[in-house]
Amino acid sequence: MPCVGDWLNSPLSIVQGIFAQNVPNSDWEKKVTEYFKEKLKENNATNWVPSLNDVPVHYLKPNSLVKFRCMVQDMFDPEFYMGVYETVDPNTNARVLHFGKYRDVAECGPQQEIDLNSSQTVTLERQTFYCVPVPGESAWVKEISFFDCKIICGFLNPQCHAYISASQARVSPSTSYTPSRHKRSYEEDEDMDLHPSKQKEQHMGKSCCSGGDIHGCVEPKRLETEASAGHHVISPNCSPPLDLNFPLPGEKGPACLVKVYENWESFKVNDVLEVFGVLSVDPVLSIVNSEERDSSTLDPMECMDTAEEQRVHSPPASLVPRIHVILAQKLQHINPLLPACLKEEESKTCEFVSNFMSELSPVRAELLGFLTHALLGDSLAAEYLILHLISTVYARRDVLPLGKFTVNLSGCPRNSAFAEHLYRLIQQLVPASYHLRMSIESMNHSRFIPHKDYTANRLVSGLLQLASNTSLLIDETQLEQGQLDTAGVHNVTALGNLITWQKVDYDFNYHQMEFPCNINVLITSEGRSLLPSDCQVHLQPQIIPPNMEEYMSSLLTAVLPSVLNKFRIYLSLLRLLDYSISDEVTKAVEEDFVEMRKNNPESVTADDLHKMLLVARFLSLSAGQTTLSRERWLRAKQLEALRKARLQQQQCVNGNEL
Amino acid sequence: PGRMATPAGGLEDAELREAQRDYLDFLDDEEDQGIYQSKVRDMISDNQYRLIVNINDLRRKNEKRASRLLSNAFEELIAFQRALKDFVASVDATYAKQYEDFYIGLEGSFGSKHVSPRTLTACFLSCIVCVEGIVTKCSLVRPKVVRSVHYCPATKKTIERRYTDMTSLDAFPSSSIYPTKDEENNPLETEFGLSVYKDHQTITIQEMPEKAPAGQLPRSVDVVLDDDLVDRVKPGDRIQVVGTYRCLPGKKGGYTSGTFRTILIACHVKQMSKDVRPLYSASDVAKIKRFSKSRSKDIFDQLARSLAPSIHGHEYIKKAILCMLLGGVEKILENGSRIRGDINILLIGDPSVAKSQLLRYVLCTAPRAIPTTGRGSSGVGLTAAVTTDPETGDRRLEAGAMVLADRGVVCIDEFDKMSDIDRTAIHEVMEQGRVTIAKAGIQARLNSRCSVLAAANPVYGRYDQYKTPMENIGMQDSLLSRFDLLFIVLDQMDPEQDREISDHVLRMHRYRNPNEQDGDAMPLGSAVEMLATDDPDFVQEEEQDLQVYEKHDDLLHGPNRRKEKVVSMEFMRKYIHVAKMIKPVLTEESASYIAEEYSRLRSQNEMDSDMARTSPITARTLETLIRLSTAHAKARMNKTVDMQDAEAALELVQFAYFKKVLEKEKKRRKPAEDDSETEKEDDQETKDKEERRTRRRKKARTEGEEGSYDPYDFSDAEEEMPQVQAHPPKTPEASGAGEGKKLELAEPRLKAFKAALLEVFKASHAQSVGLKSMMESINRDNPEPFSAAEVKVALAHMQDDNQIMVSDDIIFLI
Repeated sequence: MPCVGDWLNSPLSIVQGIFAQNVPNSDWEKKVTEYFKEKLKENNATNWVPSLNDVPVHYLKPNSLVKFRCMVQDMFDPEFYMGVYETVDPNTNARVLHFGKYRDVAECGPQQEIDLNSSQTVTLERQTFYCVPVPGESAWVKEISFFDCKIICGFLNPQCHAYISASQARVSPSTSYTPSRHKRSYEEDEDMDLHPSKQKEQHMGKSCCSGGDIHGCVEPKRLETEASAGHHVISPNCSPPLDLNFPLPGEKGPACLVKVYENWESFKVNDVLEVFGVLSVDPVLSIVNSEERDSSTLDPMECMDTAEEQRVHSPPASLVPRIHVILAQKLQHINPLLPACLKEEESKTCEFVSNFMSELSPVRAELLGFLTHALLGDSLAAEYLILHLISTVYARRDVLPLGKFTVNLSGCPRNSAFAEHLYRLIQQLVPASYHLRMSIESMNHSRFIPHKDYTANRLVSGLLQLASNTSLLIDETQLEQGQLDTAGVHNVTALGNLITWQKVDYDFNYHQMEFPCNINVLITSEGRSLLPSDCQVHLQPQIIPPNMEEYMSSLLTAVLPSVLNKFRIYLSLLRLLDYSISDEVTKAVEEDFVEMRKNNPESVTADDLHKMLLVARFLSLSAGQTTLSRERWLRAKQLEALRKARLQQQQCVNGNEL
Repeated sequence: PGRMATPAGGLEDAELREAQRDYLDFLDDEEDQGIYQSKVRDMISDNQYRLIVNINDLRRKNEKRASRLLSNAFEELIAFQRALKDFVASVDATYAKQYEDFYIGLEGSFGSKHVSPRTLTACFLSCIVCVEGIVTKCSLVRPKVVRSVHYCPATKKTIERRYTDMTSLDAFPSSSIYPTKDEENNPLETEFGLSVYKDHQTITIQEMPEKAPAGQLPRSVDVVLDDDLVDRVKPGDRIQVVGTYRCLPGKKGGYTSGTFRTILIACHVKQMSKDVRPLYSASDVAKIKRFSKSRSKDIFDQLARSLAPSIHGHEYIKKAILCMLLGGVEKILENGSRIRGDINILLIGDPSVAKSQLLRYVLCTAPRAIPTTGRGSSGVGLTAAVTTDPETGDRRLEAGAMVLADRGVVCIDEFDKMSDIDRTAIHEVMEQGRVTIAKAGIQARLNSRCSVLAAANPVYGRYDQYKTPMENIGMQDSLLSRFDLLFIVLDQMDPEQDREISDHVLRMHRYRNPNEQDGDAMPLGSAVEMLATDDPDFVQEEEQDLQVYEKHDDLLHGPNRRKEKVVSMEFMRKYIHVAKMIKPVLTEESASYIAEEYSRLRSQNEMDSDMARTSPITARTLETLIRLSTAHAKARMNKTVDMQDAEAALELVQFAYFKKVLEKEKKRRKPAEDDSETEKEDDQETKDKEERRTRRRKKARTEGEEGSYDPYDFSDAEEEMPQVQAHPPKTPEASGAGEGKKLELAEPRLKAFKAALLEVFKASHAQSVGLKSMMESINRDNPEPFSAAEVKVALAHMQDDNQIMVSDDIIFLI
C-alpha cells in the first residue's frame, strides 16, 4: 500500500506546498492539478477517495479529498474570489502570501489581518454548480460503487471506517442510512487537537447554529440525517424547511455546491460529472448568513439578496457541503461495472470490450429469455424491449433527434401491478430510471418542467430534469378518466415534447428555453397510449401468473448475480458503440423500400423506413455488430411486419367486439 | 484604508482637475455646434438632473478622454459630473444649487464593452459597460439617506453628515453609523426635514435566451439604480444598461470569505424593443448583399430548399413558409382598417407527413414564434382571456398565444381539434390583427398581428382521394379564406420520389457529425451571437458565426449534384431579418398581371371539372397574390415587385388552390398510373403557362425597348390599394358584357325621340303611358324607327335629367 495519507487527508497542505514553491509565477495552479492527476492515475487510486455518494458528510473529514458523482442541477452566477491575498500582522508588520483557491474562507491567523488593498492580491473567477446525485440512480449502482470504496478506503480513513463498520450489515447503505450512535473516536479527538482554529470555529458554530455542528453530540446529527432523508430539514430558527431541489420526489443523498475553477464552460446543465475536490463544511458559512440579516442597516447589499436567495445560495454547510473541484470529468455513463471512460485508447479498456464482445451472443440470448419471462412469455415484445433499452440519441438533424426509440407497450394487464413489477426488473438492469405513474392527480399536481424562481434565484427542478440515458417508464394503466387542469395539460404537453423532440422547455417565466435531453421512454398502457411513441408493441401474454408478485420476484432470484451484472454491462456498453451503414447495404435498402412501396404503398411510408432503419440499427448493435448487414435488415423488416400484424389483429378484435 | 489613499490622492487631484477641465471643454461647445449646451438648457427647463452624453461625440472631440472614461470609470465619471455641475452653475446658478448632484448618462457605441451578463467578466471591473438582458427581478424602491442633519438640544449645535456607500462613485464608503449622540454623549435629534434622501433600487437582469449557448443556463447580474433611474423598468422588459461594473468585497460579519459580489451601477437605462433581433456586423450585411446579388436568379429557390433540410421534398410548402417568414407589406388604410401583410398557411394531410416537424422548424427559425396546439390550449386559449386572481379577486387580462406572437408566427398544431370558441375568435385575429375583449367589465383591444402556420388532419383521419378537398378539410369557408395558402400534404406514390425519400432518410441515419459528441445537441435555436464587432478576440468566432453555406458533407447531403448548396441556418436567419425590412412596391406591369391572373383563377374554377378547389377563391385571393409576390421580391431584396415575383406567387397559388379529385372506377382500375397522369396533366398545364409567360415576357421586353421603359412605382400605398379593392365587386364577365353593349345615342336622335315622346303624351292626354303602346305610337309613321335598345337608352337619359320616370314599363311625365 502506497502512502496516500497526505494528499487524501489534507490536500490543502499539498496545495500550500506547491504554492510556496512556485509563488512568483502563476503556474502553480497548473502544477496542482497535474499533481493530483498523477496521483489519481495510480492503481485504483480513484477508489481510495471516499465518495460523498456513499458516506454521509459528517463521517468525512473536513478539507479532505472526496469524490462525488452527480448531476448539474443548477448553475449559479460566477463568483469572484481572491486567488492570492496577503495577510499582515499589525504588530510586527510581517506580510504573508496565501492562496484563496479551493477555500470558502480566506484563512487568516488570529493575530493577522487581510490586506484588501495589497498589490499582490489577484482576483480570480470561479463557477458554482448546484449538484445533486444522479436522479433515479439504481440501488445496484450505489451498492457496487460503495463496495469498491469500502474495500480500500476503510483502511485509510478512520471516519469512513467507523461508518462502514456501522453499516456493514446493511444491504443498500447509501439509500437509507441511520447511523448508530457512536462515541467520538480517539482519532477525531486527535484531529481536533491538531486544528485548534477549527475547534474554535466549531464551538462558535455550536453556539449559534446546531445544524452546523460536525463533531459535536450525536443528537443533532441524527436529526439532521433523518430530516435530510425526508427531503427537508428543520433549521434552528424555524424558517420553512429547505428544499434540496431534487428533480425526483423521494430522492435522498447529499446535494452539493460544487465550485469549479477551470473549464466550466464545457459543463452544461444536466451533465453527469465525477468531481474530485476538497470538501468544505466550514460551519462559519452558515452562521454568517443567519447573523447578517439583523445587522447593518446601511449595508448596500442588504436589499439585493432576498432571504430566500440567501438560503438557497448559502445553505448550511452541513446540509449542502461545498466541494472545491481539483479535477472534474463528464461521465459517459454511471455504470460502475464498466471502465469509466471508454473512448480512450487504453489497452485495458480495449481488452475489457473485446472480452465482453466475445461472449455477447450468449448474454443476449439469456437476456432475451429473461425479458421474455418478464413480459409474460412474449418474445417479440422482449426483443423490442432490448432494442429500446440500448437506444440513445446519437445525433440531431436540425430539430429531429436521431436514435430515440420510444416503445409503447400496449395490452398490459390492468390491475395486476404488472407495470410496477416490470419497472422493478428494469431498475435492476439500467443505471438510472424513474417510474412515472400517470394519474389525473399526479398529472395535475406534480412539477414536470423545471422553472426559474427569481426570488430565490434558482432553477426549481422538475420531474423531467433527468440525466442522459435515464430510463423513464410511464405507466398509463393506472390513468382514470377525469379533468386535467392547466398544469396537467402543460405536463402532458411536456411529456409529448420530450418523447417527440427529446427536448424540455424550461420555464423562465418571461420566456422558455429549450434544453435537449436523451431519455429512454417506455410507456405501458392498456390500449394505444395518449402519448406519442415511435413504436407500439402489443403485448400478447402467453402465461397469466396467478400471483404476479411471486412470479416476478422468483424471476429475479433465479438470475445469478454474475449473470445480472453481465446484463447490466451489456445494456450500458452497447449504447456506446458506433454504428455505420455501408454503401452496398444502403443501395439494397433503397431498392427494398421502393419495391415495398410498389407492392403496398399504403402501409410503407418514409416514417416506416425511418423506424425500420432504427430497428435495424439497434438490432445490429444488440448482436454486437457495428455495421448493418443484409440479414439484419431482413430481420428488422420481419420484426416490424410481425409487430404490425399484431397491431392489425388487435384492431380487428376490437372491431369485432363493437 | 482611507488613510492609505491620501498620499496618492494629491497626485490624483491634479489629474482629476485636468479631467474636469476636459469635460467642461466638451460640454461648453458653443463655438462648435452647441449640441450639449442646448442639451443642458433642455435639461434645466425639463427640471432634470441627468444629462445623456453620446460617447461617440466625446470620442470625436477627445479620444483619449473617452477611452479613459470607459476604462477608469469612477474617477472620470466624478470629474465629468463635477464638470457638469460647474457648467450648469454657469448657465443657471440657482438651478445648480437645487440639486446635490448632477448625473451623466452615457449612450453610443461601446465596442467590446457592449456585453451580455455572460460575457461580463472580471476584466471589465471598474469599466463602463453596456449590458443587455431581461429584467427578472426588481426590488422595492427604498429611500437612502444622503445627508442627515442632527440638532443637539444641549449644545444647540447642528451636525451634518454625508453618507456614501459602495454603490456610489466615491471610492470610500463613509462610516455607516447613524449618529444618535455627539462626542460628549449628548443626545441628538434628527432634523428629518433637512436631511436629504435619494431613491434606490436594485434589479437583476438576465441574459437573453437567444444569446445563451445551448445547454447553459442563462446568467444574471445585479444592477443598482439610483435617483431618477428607479422604476424605469419592470420585470420582463428587455433593457440595455450602461453603468460601471464594480466588485464589492464580501466582508460579512467579521470574517472574510475571500469572495466578491459584483454589481453594475447604472448611469443610463434604455428599453429595448420587444423584438428579438439578431445582431449583425458590417461584414454580415456585406455577405448578405453579395449573396442576394450573386444569385439573384434562383435565390428564392435556394433559400426555400435550405429550409428544414431534414425534410425531403415539399418544395412548394417550403417556398410558402419562406414567404411567410418574409411576409408581405402591411397597409393601414385611412379609415383605420388594416390590410395585413402576414401570410397564413394551413397544412392538411395524412398523419406522419412531417407536418409537425415543419412547424417545429419554423419555431426555431422565426425570430418570434409561439407554439400551441388546438387541443392543448386550455384556459387562456389562443387569443386572450379575462381571469380572476384567486386571492385578490382582481380581474386580469391574460394574453393567449396569438397575442404573444404579435409580429411573429403562431404555430398551431392539430388545428382541426380546436374548440369552436377559439375558432370563432381566430376569425377576427387573422384578418384584423387584433383581439377585442369585452368581458367581465374589461374592454380591451390587443394587437396580434401574427402569421398563422397551422397543421390539421383531414376530417376522416386520412385524406380521402374520392372526396373533394372541401369535404376532406371540413372547415367553414370563412375560416379557410383567411388562409393565404392551403396545402394538402399527401403521401404520394412514385418510385422516383420514393427513391429520393429513402435516399434522404438513409443519409440522415448514416450521418454523424465528426465534431459532435455523444448526445450533444446541435446549437439550434440558441446560437451565441457576438455583440461587439471591433474586438479582436471575437473575429475568429465571427467568421465561424456567419457561414453562408452549411459545410458540404457527402454523406449527409448526397453527392454534389446540381447546385444544391444548403444555406446555413444562422445565415438564413440574418438574411430573413434583413430582407424583411424591405418594403417592395408593385410595378404597373405586375399589378395588371396579377389582376388578370386573378380573374383567370376565378373562371378556372368552373372550367376544370376534375380539379376541385381547396378553398374558395375570393377577393382575399387577390390580396394573397400581392402578398406572396411581395414576399418573393423581398427574398430577392428587390425594391419593386416584378413580373417574376408575380409569376412565382401565382405558381404557389395555383399549386395550393387546386387539387384533383379521383373518380372511383378509374382509381380501381389502375391506381398507380392514374397518379402519374395527374402529374402529367399538371406538367402540361405548367408548361402551357410557361410558354405563355415567356411570350408575355418577350412582349414586355420589346415594349420596354421601344419606349424607354420606365418602371413606374406605386410609391404610395394608398394609391395601390383602392385598385385592389375595386376588383372584387365587378366579376370579369359582367364588366366585359357591359362594355360591349354600351350604345351611345347621338344628340339629334335623342332630340327626335324627345319630340316624338312629347307627341305621344299629347295625343293620349295622359300623364303616363305604357312602354309598349308608346313604342308603337312613336314608330308608327317614323322613317327611322327607334329600336328597343335605343328607346331604353334614351329613356334612361331622360330619367337622369329628371324629365320622366320609368316604372314597370310605364312612363310617367314629370
